[in-house]
Amino acid sequence: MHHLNENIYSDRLLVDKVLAGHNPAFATIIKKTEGLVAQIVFKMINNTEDRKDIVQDIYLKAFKNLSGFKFQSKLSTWIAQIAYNTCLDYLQKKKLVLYINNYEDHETDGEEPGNAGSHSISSEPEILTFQKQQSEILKAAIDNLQPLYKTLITLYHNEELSYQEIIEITGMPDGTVKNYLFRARKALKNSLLLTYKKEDL
Amino acid sequence: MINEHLSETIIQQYVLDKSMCDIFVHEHIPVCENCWARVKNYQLLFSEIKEIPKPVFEFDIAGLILTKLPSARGKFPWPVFTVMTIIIAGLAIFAYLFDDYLKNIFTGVSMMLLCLIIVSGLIILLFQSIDTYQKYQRKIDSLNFY
Repeated sequence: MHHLNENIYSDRLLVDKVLAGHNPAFATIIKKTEGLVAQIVFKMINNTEDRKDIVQDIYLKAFKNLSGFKFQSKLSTWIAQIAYNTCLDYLQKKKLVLYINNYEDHETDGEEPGNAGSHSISSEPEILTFQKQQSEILKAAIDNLQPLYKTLITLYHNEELSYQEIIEITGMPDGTVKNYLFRARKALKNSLLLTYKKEDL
Repeated sequence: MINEHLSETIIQQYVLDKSMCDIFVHEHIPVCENCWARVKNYQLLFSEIKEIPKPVFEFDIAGLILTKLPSARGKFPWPVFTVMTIIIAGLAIFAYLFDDYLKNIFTGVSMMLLCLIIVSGLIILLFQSIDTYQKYQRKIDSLNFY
């Protein structure tokens, strides 16, 4: 809570400066938030050429609406929310799907203790190993996930955001975020186990 | 002690926050090879994801955006300045033309009546201001700023 207050205090200073007409303060805001924005844009948008336009769109929207920022969250979370919605709009305009739902829903719904072992991959007590060169395999496995899954996995496990921050960014309910994260982790683990099994053959 | 393997939900919960799991989960995992392996896999997976290098844009975003921002100090509010000048000029001309009338406007009015007029005016102004501010707040709150 104390940390959040500190953040909001420094955010307020920067926002006040920008609103007073000191545009270079906006460059500081960009530097502070571009890492998180990059994570979202890279995970949701595959086309490298479009990323440049999208990131400009994100920050111009943030600048335009800055006077409406109410300091109820961190500034980075608010800008990440704009980034997520901008990417979502892009995907909808291009008629690309954010996630290919349901084929896994049936797999996980109604899961009972003991049933997990019925999955052919999980039933194997095989332990994953990661060598340096194999981290590329992990990156590739994440990239092969649906855009929503890889975004959630990255925000939670790589950026180490809390559930609450992810809820604020995506606008999804608490239960949905937790459920999608559960499925994403499971899909990622299964994908890696499959890769390792193929390599063993 | 349970003899069935734990579900994926419980395994993930155990890896993310052991304290939220029941005692039977804590007892089962160390003695079940299958569940222990699944816990280890998730632990390794999560720690490896943390180590993945974060992506960076291959261009200077701040430089790019700053050239596109409108200059806040460049614009002089000409419409406001023009309207205010016309109003002030109008009041000055009115005061000049009706100088004698204005000087005597409050003579002959009792002090009590004058105070009543001023207090009533201030109260109306106060209520109007509160109402305008509340309307403004309602409109701002209804806007979607993401």
